[in-house]
Amino acid sequence: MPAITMIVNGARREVQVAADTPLLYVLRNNLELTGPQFGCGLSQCGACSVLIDGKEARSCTLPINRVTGKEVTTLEGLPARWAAQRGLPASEAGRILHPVQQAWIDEQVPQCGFCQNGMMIKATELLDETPAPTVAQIKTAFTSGPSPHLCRCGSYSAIIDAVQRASTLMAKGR
Amino acid sequence: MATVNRIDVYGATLTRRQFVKAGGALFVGFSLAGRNFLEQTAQASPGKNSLDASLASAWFEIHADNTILMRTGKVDFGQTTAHTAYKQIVAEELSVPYEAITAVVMGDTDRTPDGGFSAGFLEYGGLNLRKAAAYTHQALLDLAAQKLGVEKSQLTVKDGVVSGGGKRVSYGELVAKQQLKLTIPVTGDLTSMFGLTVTGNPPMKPTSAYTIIGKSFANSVTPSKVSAKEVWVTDVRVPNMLHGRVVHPRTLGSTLVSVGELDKKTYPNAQVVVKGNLVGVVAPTEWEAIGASQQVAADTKWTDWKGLPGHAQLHKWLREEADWKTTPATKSEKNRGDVAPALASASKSLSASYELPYMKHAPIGPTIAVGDVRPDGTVYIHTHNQNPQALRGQIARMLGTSVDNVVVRIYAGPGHYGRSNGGNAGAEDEAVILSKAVGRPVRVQWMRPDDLLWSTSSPPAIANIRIGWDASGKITGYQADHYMPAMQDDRLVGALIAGLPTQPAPDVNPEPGAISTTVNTLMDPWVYDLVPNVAESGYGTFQLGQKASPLAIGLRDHSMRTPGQLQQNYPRELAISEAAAQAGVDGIEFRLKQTSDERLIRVLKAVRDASGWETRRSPGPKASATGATPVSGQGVSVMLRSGTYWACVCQVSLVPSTGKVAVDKYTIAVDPGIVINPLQLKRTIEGGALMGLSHALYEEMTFDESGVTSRDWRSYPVLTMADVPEIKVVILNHPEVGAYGGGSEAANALAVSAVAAAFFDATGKPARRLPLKPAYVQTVLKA
Repeated sequence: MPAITMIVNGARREVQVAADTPLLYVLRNNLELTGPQFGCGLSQCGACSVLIDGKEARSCTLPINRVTGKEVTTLEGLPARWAAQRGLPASEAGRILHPVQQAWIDEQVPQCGFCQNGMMIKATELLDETPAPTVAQIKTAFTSGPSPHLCRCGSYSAIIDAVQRASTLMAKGR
Repeated sequence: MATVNRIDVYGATLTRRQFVKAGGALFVGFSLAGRNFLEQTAQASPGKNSLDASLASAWFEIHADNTILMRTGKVDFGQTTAHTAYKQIVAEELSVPYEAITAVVMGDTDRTPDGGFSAGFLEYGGLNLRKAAAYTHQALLDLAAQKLGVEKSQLTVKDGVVSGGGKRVSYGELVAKQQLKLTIPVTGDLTSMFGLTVTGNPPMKPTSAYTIIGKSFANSVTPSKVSAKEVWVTDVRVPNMLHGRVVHPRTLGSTLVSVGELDKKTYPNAQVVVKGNLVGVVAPTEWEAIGASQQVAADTKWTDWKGLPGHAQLHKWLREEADWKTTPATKSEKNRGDVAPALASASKSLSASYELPYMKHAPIGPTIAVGDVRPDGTVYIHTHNQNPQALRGQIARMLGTSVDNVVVRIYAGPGHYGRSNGGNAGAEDEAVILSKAVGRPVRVQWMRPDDLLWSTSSPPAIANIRIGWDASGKITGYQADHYMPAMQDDRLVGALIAGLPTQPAPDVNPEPGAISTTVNTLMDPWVYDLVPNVAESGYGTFQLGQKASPLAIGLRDHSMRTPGQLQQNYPRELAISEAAAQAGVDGIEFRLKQTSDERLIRVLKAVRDASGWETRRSPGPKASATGATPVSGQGVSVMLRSGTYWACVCQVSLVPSTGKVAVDKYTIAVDPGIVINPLQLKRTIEGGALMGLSHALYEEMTFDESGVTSRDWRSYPVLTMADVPEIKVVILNHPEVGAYGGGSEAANALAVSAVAAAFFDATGKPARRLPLKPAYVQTVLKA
């Protein structure tokens, strides 16, 4: 079993697992990063989403050997990502939340909250590319990719509110 | 050395020990004998691994620094009301700041007092905490009266500080350096469906004095969830734990012929466990357990079984084959007059039949549990479950051990929408069975297909409705015959497959403490009080295929948001919209003609004004069932649920040639009486509204003769963000009602009839079954 190396939330991590192990199990069980959740194991819901080199990806079906050398950002890594984008010292990351996370709190988005990891990852990707998205652009973003991002509790309208709030927060912070 | 004294509190005794030299401050409980104390203590006596719910300290710890820890056995991981409304209710009743409640312990069976299911979370569940807080508040006032030397009636409390006679003392100061014991009256069976109930009538704060209830306090559990700090049920890892997966039978009635041989070369650390017809695979890593279980499954042989009608034949089968005779019919308590002659003599009438499919709760994450059967016979189950004390009882029964030996710990998890309110969601018993077999803790997580194929479902229904009205548009007679299979199967599915003891299948008479009955109760309160002749009946039957299945499984049903009421409100409200159309009267005007209930009138007018409703007859002037030009329509529906009045308007559009229905706008007005947390309420209503639109447009569990064929999100599609309409929520706060209603899940059920009525308004064609998928819609439009 050869070691596989990747950058996770800014740090170099090496794991020894079967090469076909999906990234999700490595993150949760080997690296104890429990932001991403198992929802379907089929890339059909988005609960497991992470950013890979800045792009949203479904970790439940992505074999670990395809992540070699890549940069993985999980929900845990969003504050540091924001700190870096703002040019804040890395030590600040432990004291702040990413504006997307703050907006999720302000708008009281979660019902059960189980899908929200993927929703926040998707929102982060969207706001990086489109800093002030329209409702139509938000809807397109959250329903494109391998599958729509599913929320069974129906928090979609709260998510739309929160993406727009995060957009405002980020505009102020940049 | 301690001095002991006694204080009379509402005809009872508070015991107080004052420590002369005490280190830490304690609030280890008050001892107040309530009026029912003597008759209730025997039932409430706690066993091992239980709190004594008759002690106030089981509910609250008030610390010397004025912080408070609160415990509730009710579990809400779906809307997290325990972290908002429950805290507000308690803070209000105790007269402490919301922020003083710094910790909430929820659901753990050895750390919370009362148990019971999580239905009726505010109107029933919250009452236990509220009464416990009210007793505690009274005892604190008595302590303060003694300490300050001021008459109790002269005391006031604000922010946890008691004032009177120019003096003041905080709760923290009152309880510091003392051991206090307050006993409150409780009754019930902890591990039954209902858990324990706090009884008696302690004085409660008048609603006019509320300062905390009614404000949008932030949900205290949200920050940990959005920052990945929450310990979710999926995160639980215990020492020496193995990962497990279950190879479920090939059909809902298959028994095991032979177990596939494990490929030890590929999966060297995996192990197969067989118990009855239950095949499990455990391994040290999750990925090996998954791979090994799939490899074993492919080689495992099962008997064939065909005992279901298949979903295309479902409603025909229900009409022609189901046994509706064995189970006694139910009648509404609001039935009145003589419907048959009223319908016969009505100037016009409607007679129509409506159909609902099976729907899945479909939590976004599958059921999961860690079972830990220890050498000393103690069993720990780490899971997320809406009735952990009932699960405790069920697991004890399965293992033939005492409930004292079973502990259930509860974590945040994907919402269940009622699926686990009877004590199990699926993985719990399987985790315990595998743990017992291998002698190590085992974590069982179902895969997505397991969760759709082997879980319970919301039952299907048929309703036959007849409505007659006079020339003025007043309904003279209403008859509804509701047909629905049993909807509360609380049996442990792993125990059934393994052949281990569990409770009986739903039958006419459930066991004491259970609600698993075939009786179809009328769940949709009648709100049109001016109708002189009403006859509503409910007919129940057994679950499909259950008796014929060698596993006694078949299609198992379970309560889901607005259980039973969805199945009865949808046909009622859609039929009333159709009757209004035939009467040539606007749908809201028509409803207003049938009621004198001020609260119903209020929500109807509110939703009319907020939605941009066009007051006119239906179908609309531009309605069309053909062509490629979009048509649009409006529909309304109302519901009384848990003391809360609801009215909803949906505006839809569709292109008849494609049959694709879109909801453009959803407006809902709600009068719950007292609004506890407006933002929390708004968000839960929005969620319910969207889940309801999902039911209206997408959801139908498919099945063949052997089992469920909806196995993933492609074969069981649900609403996506693309379908989200403009949503307007109008909250009417009416504290004078004197009660907080509940049931924000009502928003779920209201959507289906309002969307169908709007479809009729747009096309002139009645669609009398769900969901409104293009293929079905096109059939309706061509009819």
